Amino acid sequence: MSRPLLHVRDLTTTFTTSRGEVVSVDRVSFDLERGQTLGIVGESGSGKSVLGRTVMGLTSAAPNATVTGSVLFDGVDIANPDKKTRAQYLGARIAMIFQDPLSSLNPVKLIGVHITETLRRHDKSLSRQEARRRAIELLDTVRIPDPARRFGQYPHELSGGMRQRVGIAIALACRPQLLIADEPTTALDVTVQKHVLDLLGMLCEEQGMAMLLVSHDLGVVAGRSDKVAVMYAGRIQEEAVSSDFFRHQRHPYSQALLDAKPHLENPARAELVSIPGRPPDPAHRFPGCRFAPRCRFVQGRCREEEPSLESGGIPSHGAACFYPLDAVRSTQEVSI
Amino acid sequence: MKAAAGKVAQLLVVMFLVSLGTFSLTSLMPGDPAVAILGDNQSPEAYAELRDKLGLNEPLVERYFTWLGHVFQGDLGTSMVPPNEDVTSLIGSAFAVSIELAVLALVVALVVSIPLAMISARRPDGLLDRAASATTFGIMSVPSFVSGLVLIALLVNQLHLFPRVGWVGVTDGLGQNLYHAALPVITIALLEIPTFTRVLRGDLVRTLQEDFVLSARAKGMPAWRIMIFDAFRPSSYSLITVLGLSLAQLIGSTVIVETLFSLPGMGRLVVSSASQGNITVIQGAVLVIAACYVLINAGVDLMYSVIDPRIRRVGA
Repeated sequence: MSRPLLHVRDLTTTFTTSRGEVVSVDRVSFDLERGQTLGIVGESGSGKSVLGRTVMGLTSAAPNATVTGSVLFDGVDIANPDKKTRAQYLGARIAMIFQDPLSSLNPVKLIGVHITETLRRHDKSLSRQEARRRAIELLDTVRIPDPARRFGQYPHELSGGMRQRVGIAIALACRPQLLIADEPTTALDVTVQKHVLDLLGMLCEEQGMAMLLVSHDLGVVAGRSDKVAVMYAGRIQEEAVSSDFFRHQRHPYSQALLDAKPHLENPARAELVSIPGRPPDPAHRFPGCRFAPRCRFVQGRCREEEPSLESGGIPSHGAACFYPLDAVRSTQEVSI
Repeated sequence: MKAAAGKVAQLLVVMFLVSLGTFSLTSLMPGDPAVAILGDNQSPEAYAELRDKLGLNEPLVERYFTWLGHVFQGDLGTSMVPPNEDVTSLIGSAFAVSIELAVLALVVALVVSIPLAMISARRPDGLLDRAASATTFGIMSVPSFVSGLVLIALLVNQLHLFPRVGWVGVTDGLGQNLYHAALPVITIALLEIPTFTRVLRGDLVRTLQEDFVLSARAKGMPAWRIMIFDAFRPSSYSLITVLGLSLAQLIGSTVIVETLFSLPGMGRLVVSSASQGNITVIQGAVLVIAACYVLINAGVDLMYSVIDPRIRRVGA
């Protein structure tokens, strides 16, 4: 068995804040094979973005953050990268796409320079002209019309969708093996969203790139990822192959999340389904399952012990739940 | 082009108002120029004759336009105090000294402040930041006549590095000129360094929290590169504003430092003319200083649009 491209084990990111220790990512483990896409889904505050940044080695630089556990990228631990590893991997073999394409581009820098500086940073022998030619080529790859003109424009002169394409072009510059897309389409119009996601999927396939697709929107992840991981309060609650996951969810939280999705065919003014309660305050941890206070199926054990992904009993479709949904009915029947 | 023409028209209007203000203000000043020139013990006829000769008996508006006409020809009149020099050349030589002092001092201040601000902003509230902050606040609270004297005591009296006083123009050799300018330049720079450092540090800290800094880090850029090539330019607006104000201010108001080092600059010229009631010199000097303010502010506006491409279209 070949080793996975990304092998994450017990990754924990803790921030020391004025309110105490905040564990944003808590003992997260997953594997990502080459060329595959893992969708990471969760509400805001679930730690999914911090997870993406931690895998990228970006949180460990913050003075108030502590990262433990391991992130093996092609066998090399990049959880707490030193300067040399960072320079070698970031932007070259691992690249990132950010949520807000306007604020993630430097307002006073030409579109083209954003790309050429990445190219030249990771290939010192690249001449200015060659970098320029490659940058224009990349802009063309991400379907930006008139790339030579766009090269000499500033970020504010482009539309949101175009800016995000630039973001993708920057990320693709050095042909990375892993792309971390942190809410890549959240700031875009729905129609533009689809174009950008299709483009990303196509490029991943063409270049054999693996992708960590972080989103709060299950619709974004559906049909575009090989595997899905659902995060809640810093932990992965359910992890499965996409087709399995969307056929049936085993964790009550995942199911509640899918139920909360508005449906177009519903009559106008139909009340939207929401999950009662709020996500727990990350600064105040309590024993037991993190979803227990909001769970419809909560039982005594849930409030005492913390379930792990293995608790669900089916290894290929992990669910951090003592009473996964395929089993809930039978336990209920027993209790009658 | 249209925007540039509008700008120039705006500048001309401001300059016109400034000249009018200057002229009327000095006319309202207490004291009789004739008395100032001739002294106290002259006959009333002598005073009247001189007043007539100076044109002081004409209506104010008429005098203003006569003066303005001469100004346009580069003639600011003659000094009312013997040896009755030409005001234009009098101000010209003082202005050369002041502008050199101001520009050199600002360059020195920038050379010190920019790296200092970058080091501080790298880790806000870190050890280096606190040390820099304490030092700059310390310097800020020392007035220039104290820091100047300390510098003289240290660098001149003890180490004999610089001349104590005096001024040598650029025309008499650049080396000698800089040698004599060094101490006053350092003294003035010390006044500016704290402000520059604080202003730039604050903006850098804010810019470093922007997403594009994170994305630069995600590209594998080293921290120093991000600081210089990503964060500095978008953080420099306030610095440029302060820089412009400082330059304009330094041209006319470094009297203390000029006095301390016996330099023939604008500050001393204005103060001595004011005490002598030398109206023509004051009028000329204030006009030149005001023109500097207007031009420097226009320059600052121009700099904004050079730095920020987003302003270029909007400002048109």
